[in-house]
Amino acid sequence: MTDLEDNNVIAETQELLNSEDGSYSTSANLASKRTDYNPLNVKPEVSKQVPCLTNTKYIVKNVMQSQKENINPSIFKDNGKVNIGDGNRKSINDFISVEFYRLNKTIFDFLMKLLLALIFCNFSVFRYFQYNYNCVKLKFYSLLYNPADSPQLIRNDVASLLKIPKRLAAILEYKPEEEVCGGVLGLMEDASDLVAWSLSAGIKHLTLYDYDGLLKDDVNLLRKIIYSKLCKYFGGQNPPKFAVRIPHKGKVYYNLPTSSSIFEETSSDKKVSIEIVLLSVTDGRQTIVELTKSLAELHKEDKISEDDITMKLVDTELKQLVGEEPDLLLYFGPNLDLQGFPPWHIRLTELFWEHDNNNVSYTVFIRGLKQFSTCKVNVGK
Amino acid sequence: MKEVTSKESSPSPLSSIEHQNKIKNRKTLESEYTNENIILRTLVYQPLKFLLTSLIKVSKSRPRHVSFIMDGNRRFAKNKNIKVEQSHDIGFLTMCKILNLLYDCGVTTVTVFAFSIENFSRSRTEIDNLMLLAKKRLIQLTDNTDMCNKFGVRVKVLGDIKLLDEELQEMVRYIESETSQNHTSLLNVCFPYTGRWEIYSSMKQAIIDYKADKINDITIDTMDEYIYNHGNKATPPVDWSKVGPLDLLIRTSGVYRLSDYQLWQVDSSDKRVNDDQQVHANRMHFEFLNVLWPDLTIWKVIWILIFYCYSH
Repeated sequence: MTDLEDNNVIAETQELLNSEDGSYSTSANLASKRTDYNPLNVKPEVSKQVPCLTNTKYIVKNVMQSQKENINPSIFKDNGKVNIGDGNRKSINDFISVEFYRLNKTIFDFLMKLLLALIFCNFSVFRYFQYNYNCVKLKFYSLLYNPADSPQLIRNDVASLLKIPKRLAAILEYKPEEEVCGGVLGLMEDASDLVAWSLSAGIKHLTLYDYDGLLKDDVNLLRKIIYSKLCKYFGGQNPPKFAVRIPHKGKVYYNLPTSSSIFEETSSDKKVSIEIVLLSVTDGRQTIVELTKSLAELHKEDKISEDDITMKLVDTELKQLVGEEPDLLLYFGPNLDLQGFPPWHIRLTELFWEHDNNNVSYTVFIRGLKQFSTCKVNVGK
Repeated sequence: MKEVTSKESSPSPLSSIEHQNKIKNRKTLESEYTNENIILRTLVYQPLKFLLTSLIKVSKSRPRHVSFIMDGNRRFAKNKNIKVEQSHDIGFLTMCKILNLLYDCGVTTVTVFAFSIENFSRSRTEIDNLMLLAKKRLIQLTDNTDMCNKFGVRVKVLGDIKLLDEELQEMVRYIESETSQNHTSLLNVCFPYTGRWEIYSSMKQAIIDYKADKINDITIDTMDEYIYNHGNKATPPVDWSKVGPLDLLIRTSGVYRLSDYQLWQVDSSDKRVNDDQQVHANRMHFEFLNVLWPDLTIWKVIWILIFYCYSH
């Protein structure tokens, strides 16, 4: 571009500027837009740079200035997309086409959003019916399967199944106190229900997971509640024995909390019919991180070499720290949400949840077992 | 894997890539397996698809990381009485269509589970066939005419590529370097991969880096960093919009298991949300479908995506 042309352009634009008084309107008026983004718009006292768009510093200053004057310098925001030419004339053309494109896009987006809102309205109607349908379905199933506090009925339900899981896991959710079956007590009630059901179904290992570890915090209360529930199911004289294990603390509790010391526990007390493992969020990713940390410390002190860290080592360590992998995971909520359940331990676990179900019910339990009995695990094949 | 290498003796991986580029059997494949009416397609399907994709695109709560478990190829072959290779071909075509759709909808990261480490226990002939297929497809993915350059997709292969034969390893490296300049979106191909392997290798890398004094402390954030950057240390700050946790996991063929897939990533807490906003925003959504993978249509995926937008 020659000097002559340059001067012409400057003269032209200054005329334009004078005629329009430099009105900075945000309307879709293209002519005003042109002056808005015109690099020649900059007064000499603000920028003494040569007005040429190839100069990036100049653009930045221009943008800064227009920001001060409360104009949206949006073109410059998505940098890299707008290919700014080397001359002023070309750049003005570019700006016009970009503005056109942007205008079209805003109109299009607006229309689409309108349509989306309409579709969402339809969806809400659809969801309403689906929700009701699911609720009715669950009600029907709850009539079909009713534990009625008796292990015999549960055993009958389970007897027709081809296989039952060896290890069962369940994710329990804390509900606020105001709700029915809410609060810590409600949570423990749910847990004890699950214990009774799985004991009747013949499952020997039960893993209970709650995010905050509320079950862990008050083990004695939990044991009392489980004990009373088992009495209700199996008769008060001689309820089955159980053990509560907390891998995080490395402690095992047997049966009811007794006032007498631990030494009085006889060996017969340790033969339990069900083992309950309590997990919380700290047993998940946190444990893996801690294991990594301790291994890293050992490696730094050269106690173990790099080759010693194998998949098998990690696996055995995590099994010791958290426990075995469950076969079936039940979730008692409307949408499956693993809530940070130990990631290493859900490799081949069958997942089960009922849509739009929000409480711990026997229906979900027995339907989960039914699904498990039909599934076929073939690793890799 | 030495036997496999001896069977497929090709002089150099690059020459075979060029050769495959010339063939471009994607077109023939498509004409072979699609029986859609062309008039219907141009007049009804494509405008409808365009409309729906732009609908999803304007929604603010659209998923940003979608993940697939492509299951059911062999059952499909059994049901339709066709060869397993053919079924894998059709499955690949389905994947292409769905990837096209997802990138149209503005999904930035897509992860597909192509091959598990445990799949090596399948029969030798099937593995060989799968490897051949992978070779063909990996090249097509980076083909100029294909969608990779159209959408600016960066291809990443997740998994223990040391288990593959030399030629494939070379190819994987070539493809990763070829597409490394694309920044719009990311395609993770899990090939041979398991979730436990991913966690384990990230752990190991972290331990090695800890000894070399590259990192001072190991926390959940460090592990996150390593896993989402495929076992490498990330340059802070981590761009969670690019490598963020899963939003949507779709599994076909009616199996309700994760099968050792993305074990770490299936977490509801969202890193991308700032602390002043909701911390534990539940974004993760599971979708277990009863259809076999080659039967999965884009309409079903669109339905799932719109439903996702609606429920978030």
